Amino acid sequence: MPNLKQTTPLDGFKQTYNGLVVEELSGFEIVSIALVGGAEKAAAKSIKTFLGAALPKPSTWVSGKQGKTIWTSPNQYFLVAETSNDRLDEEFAAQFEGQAYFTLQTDGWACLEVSGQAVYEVLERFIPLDIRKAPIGFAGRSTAHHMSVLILKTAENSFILLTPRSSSWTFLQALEEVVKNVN
Amino acid sequence: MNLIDKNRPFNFKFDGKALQGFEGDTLASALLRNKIQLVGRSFKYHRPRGIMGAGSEESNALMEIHNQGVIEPNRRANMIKLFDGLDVRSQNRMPSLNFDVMAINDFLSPFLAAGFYYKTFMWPRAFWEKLYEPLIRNAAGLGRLSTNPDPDRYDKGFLHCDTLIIGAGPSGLMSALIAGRSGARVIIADEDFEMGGRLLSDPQEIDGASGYEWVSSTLAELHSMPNVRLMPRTSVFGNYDHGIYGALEVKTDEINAQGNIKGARQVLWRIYSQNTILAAGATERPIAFANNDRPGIMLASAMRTYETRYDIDFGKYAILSNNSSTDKNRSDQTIDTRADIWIADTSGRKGLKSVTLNSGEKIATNWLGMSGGWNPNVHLTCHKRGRPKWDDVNACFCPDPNTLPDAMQVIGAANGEFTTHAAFKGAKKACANLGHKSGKSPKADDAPYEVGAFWHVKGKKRAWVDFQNDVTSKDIILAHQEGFSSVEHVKRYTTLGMATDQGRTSNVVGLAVLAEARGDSIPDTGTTIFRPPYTPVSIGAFAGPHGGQHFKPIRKTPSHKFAEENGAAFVETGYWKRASWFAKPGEQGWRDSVDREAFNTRRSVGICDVTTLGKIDVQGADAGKFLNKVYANTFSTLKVGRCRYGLMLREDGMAMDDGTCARFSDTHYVMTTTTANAVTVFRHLEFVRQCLFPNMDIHLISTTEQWAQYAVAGPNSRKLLQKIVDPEFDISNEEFAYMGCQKITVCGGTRARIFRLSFSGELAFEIAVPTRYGDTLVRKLMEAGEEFDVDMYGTEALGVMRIEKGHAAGNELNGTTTALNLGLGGFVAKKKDCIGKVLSQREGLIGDDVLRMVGFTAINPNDTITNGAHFIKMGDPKDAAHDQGYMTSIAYSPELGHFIGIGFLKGGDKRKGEELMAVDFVRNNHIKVKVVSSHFIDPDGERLRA
Repeated sequence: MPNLKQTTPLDGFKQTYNGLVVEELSGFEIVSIALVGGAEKAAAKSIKTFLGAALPKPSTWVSGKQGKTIWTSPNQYFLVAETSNDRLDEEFAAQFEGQAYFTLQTDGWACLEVSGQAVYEVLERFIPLDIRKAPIGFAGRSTAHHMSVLILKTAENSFILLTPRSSSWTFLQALEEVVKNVN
Repeated sequence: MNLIDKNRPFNFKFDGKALQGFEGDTLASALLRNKIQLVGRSFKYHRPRGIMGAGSEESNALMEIHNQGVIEPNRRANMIKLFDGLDVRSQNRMPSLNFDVMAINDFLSPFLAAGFYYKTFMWPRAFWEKLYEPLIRNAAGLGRLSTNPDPDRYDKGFLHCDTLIIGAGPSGLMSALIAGRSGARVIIADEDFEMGGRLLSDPQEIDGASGYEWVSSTLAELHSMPNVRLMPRTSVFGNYDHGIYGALEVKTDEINAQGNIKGARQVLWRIYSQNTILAAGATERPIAFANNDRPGIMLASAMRTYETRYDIDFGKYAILSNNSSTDKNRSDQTIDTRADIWIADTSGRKGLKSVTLNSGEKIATNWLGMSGGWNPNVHLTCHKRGRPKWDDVNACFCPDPNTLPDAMQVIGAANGEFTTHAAFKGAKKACANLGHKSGKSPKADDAPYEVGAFWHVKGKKRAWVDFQNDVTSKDIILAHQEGFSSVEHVKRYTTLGMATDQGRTSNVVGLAVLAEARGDSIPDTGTTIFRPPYTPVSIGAFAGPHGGQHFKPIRKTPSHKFAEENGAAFVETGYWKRASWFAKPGEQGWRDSVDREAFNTRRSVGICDVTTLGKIDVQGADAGKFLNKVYANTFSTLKVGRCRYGLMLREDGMAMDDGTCARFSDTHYVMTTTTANAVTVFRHLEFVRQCLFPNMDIHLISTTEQWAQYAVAGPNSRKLLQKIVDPEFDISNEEFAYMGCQKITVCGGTRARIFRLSFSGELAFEIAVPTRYGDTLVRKLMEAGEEFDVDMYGTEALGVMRIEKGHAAGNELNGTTTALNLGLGGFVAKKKDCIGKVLSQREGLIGDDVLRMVGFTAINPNDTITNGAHFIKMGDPKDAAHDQGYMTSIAYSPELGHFIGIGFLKGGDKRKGEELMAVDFVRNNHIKVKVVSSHFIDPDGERLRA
């Protein structure tokens, strides 16, 4: 029997609006990293070597050898790894046993890149955070139209939005509604 | 310097009459330009009314905006920016503005004084509800609501700044300039579509040039600053906790009936500010004298605004004033109360014709400006219970610095500093307090404001205080005479200040009249409390974009598309759309589908999408210890590769949720929760982790959406799965026993998890793959199951089978039941402590007579059991005093061929075989039932262990 076919949450959505491009991103794996209680310092050190970058501070993300690492809560991070290896969590668990716990999260999230000149005008009607002040490297957890969102600022006019997969179509429709309201 | 562009004419209609105005006009100025004095009718007496103000304080000129059957009522003409094609109609008149039969109320006014409805219509009593009240309700109200859907778009948004400046008059603009130049992030908002405040209306010079030139150059500089956001047509209407302000931005007043307007009509902003400068200015107040409400009588400052900014020619007009601000008016005759002259009466029903002075002199005039002094706009200083203080010199309430909201400063006229010089000085000081230095302020008008308090003219005739709600000085005095002496009581008895203008022009005058009646001072009389919103906000703006499909999120499982293709009817659970049943051609109704699905699953095999069940990864060295605390039963002893049913209690001892928990390693458990409680349980676990046991090594993360999970149930379930599970994994009964779990691969290497769990009571498995494979997995399962006549089954068939098996679900875990009630008392481990254990042992929750979950069958098999029915002993009265318990879940069992039910019965575990009445007054269905075991099918569990 052939392998099962993958589907992305938003069927590869891409749309250009007036001053804004909204595009679904895929082709990566997300693994949550949770540092073992009492071993945080040692864990952070060995993970730093592995990632090629120190674990990010609250409300930030960093770029490293494996991809982007995002602060999500105290001693918990998301690694967005540029790989198609969906057993990354198990491999990491073996590699960092006693230092950190790992959970595959790729399938829990839909990932949208929102970019363009109108990005601030749109996002200030969507997400309550102070995104105009946010520097590149900012990561924030918030809500948009009552749905969870994890927002990363990746360039001056570009953001990545991660939102739970099951409600991602509603999320996308809400975002499109805001775009229409701004235009 | 007027701001009207006569090269850009706009055509508009008022009560069907075609008129013309210009770019820069408001509807009010355009009506005045067209020499229209009569624009509305008053609320109670239907008195003819004209435009009174030039801003949001307007009491009289309320209009309906129409467009193709859509109506927006109660819009103030002064706040509608004129546009081409505007269609407005007057309101609260029948049949026309010019001839209103309801004006008979004016002649019946002796019977319609304050609180008349408390005193009249008393007899006959029966007429109140059927006749009087409908009549009064029909007569009440102003504009009409359209019954058509609102075609417009509304939006919400969030803004952040260092300094929010409310008001763009001289003090606001100067503050923005200083703060902006120093690099602060500034938002300056003003309800007008032109910024500048009174500098647009009052003739005055700043640094030797016109005030308007200073406004223009200041705005140009502010526009050039990227750190300053200018928000005209934006009313900051409320002050909330933590420096948060509500603001309504009006993008257009057009109604989008033709669908040609792009973008949102209004945006409701939530502004997060570090500090605030309130520069909201002041509102002029009227003077109450006999018949002071005639069309043609308006506020003196409004006349100035219409003359200066809008280029309206009133011809000759008079001014009634008690202060120096009217020196700026170009009037022909000033009646100054400080010189002991005032107006005793006026004439002209639909338009002012003359005024009569106290001396008896009669002055012919069509226009009169009146000024009873100025009220600082203190409202936003009071939204968090700040109280203003009385200023004797200026005869007005000013903000009390001791009760201001955190991080708010008040400057300019809003602070009782009425000159432009003082406005600049206040701005400089406020900005200095924020650390922003500034140079020398421009030279501006510093003529002192002088006022001689003069509130109302006593007399027998009606003198209006609250123009919108038709409250006269006589009404206030009457209220006092009838014992309503507290300002809050007077407000409610007379409706003073309760109209859509929220008493902007009437409150202080009303207080003064009341104070005089009480023989008290105004500050001792007190004020009512200002609450948000400062100006009316449409309900559409509050709703914002959250209408229709955007009202709430929809969560879909990865098999949603497949389910739609296969005739699924969906039910909503915790925002999830779950398939209830899958209709097949020829089936007459949902019962046909559900009976088939349940029967087929028990006969062969069925598949159900259980992705929606909450899944929580619990990892850590203390995971077992942690689960022992949150579950009533023990989990630290659970072996790796095994699952266990778990019951979770609330702190009060009631059952909170249940599910299974699988152990994949020493430090890794996967908990499942019910669909509806997934979020509640996760929140509870986080509370326990962070607050109760912060030293445990525990990490939680939701994996509900990570895994697509399907229940495969029925005697052929193993055979079906063996075609999917890769051959190196043995799922035989010997190698993979009931309540086992393991990590496997399926379909040639796709990672998966398999659990041997059963909710249906049949041999059953749950198989999970990363969600990205969910859609294709269900299709593969159906393909592989063809030889077994596999069927999808939905939540209804799932419900039937769990009732047949006697499993408790949401109806039983209803927040009022304990483990003992559920027949799970033995689950509460004796050897360990857990959340809820102590309180579950409270008196009344334990004992032989508490409710116990049991099964029920109808004694007459043709009877329908209904859920919600209460049990009564045979022969007992059918009342609450004889209640023995209640039915929680019922189903028609295709396996048994009759209805079955489960429910709670007092001491039910010892009453099997007893016959009772199941009494259902809601459906009027009272039947005889027999108490049986809740395990209707396979009570010994042989099938699920097969």
